Amino acid sequence: MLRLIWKNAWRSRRRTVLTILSVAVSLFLLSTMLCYLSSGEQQLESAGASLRVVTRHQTSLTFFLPEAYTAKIAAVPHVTVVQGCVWWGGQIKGKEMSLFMSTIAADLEPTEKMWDDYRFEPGVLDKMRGELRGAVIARRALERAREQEGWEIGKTVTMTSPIFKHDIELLLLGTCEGPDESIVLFRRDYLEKVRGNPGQIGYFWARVDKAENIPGVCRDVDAMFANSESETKTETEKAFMQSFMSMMGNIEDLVRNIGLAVVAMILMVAANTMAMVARERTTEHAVMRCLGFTRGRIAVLFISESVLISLLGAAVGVGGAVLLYRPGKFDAGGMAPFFHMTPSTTATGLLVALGVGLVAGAAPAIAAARRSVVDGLRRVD
Amino acid sequence: MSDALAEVTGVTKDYKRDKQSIRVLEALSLTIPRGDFLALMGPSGSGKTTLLNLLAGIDQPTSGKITVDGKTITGLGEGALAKWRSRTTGFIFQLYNLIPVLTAYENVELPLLLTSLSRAERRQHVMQALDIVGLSDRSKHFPRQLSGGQEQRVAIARAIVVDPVLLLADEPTGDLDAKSADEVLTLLQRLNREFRKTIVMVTHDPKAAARATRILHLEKGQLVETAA
Ligand SMILES: Nc1ncnc2c1ncn2[C@@H]1O[C@H](COP(=O)(O)OP(=O)(O)OP(=O)(O)O)[C@@H](O)[C@H]1O
Ligand SMILES: [Mg+2]
Repeated sequence: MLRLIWKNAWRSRRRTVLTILSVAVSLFLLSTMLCYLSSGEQQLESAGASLRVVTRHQTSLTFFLPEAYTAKIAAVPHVTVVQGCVWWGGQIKGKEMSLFMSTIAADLEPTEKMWDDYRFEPGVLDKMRGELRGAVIARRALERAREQEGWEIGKTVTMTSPIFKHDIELLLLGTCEGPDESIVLFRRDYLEKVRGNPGQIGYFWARVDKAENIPGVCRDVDAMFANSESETKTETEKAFMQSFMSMMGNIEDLVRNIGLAVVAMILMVAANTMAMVARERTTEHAVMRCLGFTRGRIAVLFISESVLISLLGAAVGVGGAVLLYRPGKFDAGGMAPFFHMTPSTTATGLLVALGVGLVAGAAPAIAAARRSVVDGLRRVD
Repeated sequence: MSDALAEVTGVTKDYKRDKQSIRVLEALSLTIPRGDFLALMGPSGSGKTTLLNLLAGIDQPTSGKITVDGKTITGLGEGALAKWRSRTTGFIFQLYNLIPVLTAYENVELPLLLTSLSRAERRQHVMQALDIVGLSDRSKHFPRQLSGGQEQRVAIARAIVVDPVLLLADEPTGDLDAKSADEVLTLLQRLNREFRKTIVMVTHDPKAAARATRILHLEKGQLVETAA
């Protein structure tokens, strides 16, 4: 029986190959989108356990806060350390689109305590103390920039910003490793010197001693600055990331809708093929029923064939995605640090293929099973 | 009556086309004794194929009763009929209707896939059936690599592989040249004499009909007997 299904599937070789390929391409696309969605989720998840909170201007992330808030936030109960940051958003001059790095100007002193989930190369923070233009770069980011731009530790590099008009020149002192593999950290006092505009903070990181104190700290900080000239909004790292992501437009929903459209497309391609196949085999199905095959068995054979074809498509499409989006192999140019095929992404791709096979085969199979043997045979004459 | 293999009693068959109903067979009764080789003749549209389909249980009469090998098949459900069919009848078509992607061997094996036989047992049955039709050496050939006559013999092997008591053939020589037709008819005769198969064969060709032991004419839904 299995051999019959296999041979039937390859009856029209070109058609089967084309169907498998279009299912494969669509499933590859779908896998890519699923990876994108799950990478966002994982980023948020990794932030979920963090003890850090973010204080920013209540109106928008694009408004600055006064530097004097640093000490005031540090004085709030349960806050252990505070760090003022400016998101600089580094790009390489002339190659604005090719390499993305989340370049951040930050107060140097609190760095080690604040970023305890990062591993800094030994001594690199000390070196930064002695070098105003010093910077530490994520290991993965350096690897990419080395390939494309020839960056090395010890080199001075020029970066531009999508926000600020001045360029900065950073001396790469060492590397770090942590959740964000595209990070570049440099001294905020250097940025102030370049801009000639001191005392402005983009947002504050604050560390809280225990997770259960996070809501209290958020409330207290915002209460402290209520009715001041610069009111604040303090939230968890996870919530901050979420609002930061949604600033880039609601891409997630768009991706999700495109994903659904892709699934619908695969379904139509597969259903069309199977409908054609069923029509061609009308007589044959009648002959097989003359030999004693039941309606049910004919339907099962036919649906199996449809599932086989779409699973072959999945093997190529989802399999390709698994090979390509391997952890450590692929990082979407730094945009999405968790861009990998997780087991659940892979399973989703395979389930979609299974579902497509079943649905695409079902309608023609039911029609074939319903047709009377006599009608099927009459098509010969 | 104990040696009657098939008993058709008062069978009427109407086909509804749109709102009109056409009567193809009217109160037809027929007894087919065991070991009979019956040729069914008659003008086109007289209902020969219809009668054959009723005997094979792939169509149901509007009224009347059909009994084959002691079993009344009228009114049986689809599953039971399919099972009955796979054991009791072998069907031979005018256009052979082999499955093009399967070899001769695999085509003959097809009905056996519905049984619980092991692969080795199936092999034995298939080779035996191919041997009877004289095509053991063609078992690996695909239908397109066979002549029309050979294809029809493979189809006959497929029909006899489950060792059914009743063979039904609808114009089995209708698409063959004289020589191939002769071979096929000789084969059917041998199946009837040597293997005691009861055969009902629809044909337009008087020479083919002459090979049967009995000829019946179907006209306007009624049977007229003629001596063979
Ligand atoms: N499914 C059907 N629906 C409507 N009419 C049918 C159907 N099947 C058969 N008929 C009609 O029944 C009549 C008998 O058909 P049948 O095929 O049994 O004839 P036949 O004797 O086999 O003819 P031929 O020698 O041409 O094969 C024909 O008039 C045909 O049009
Ligand atoms: Mg006919």
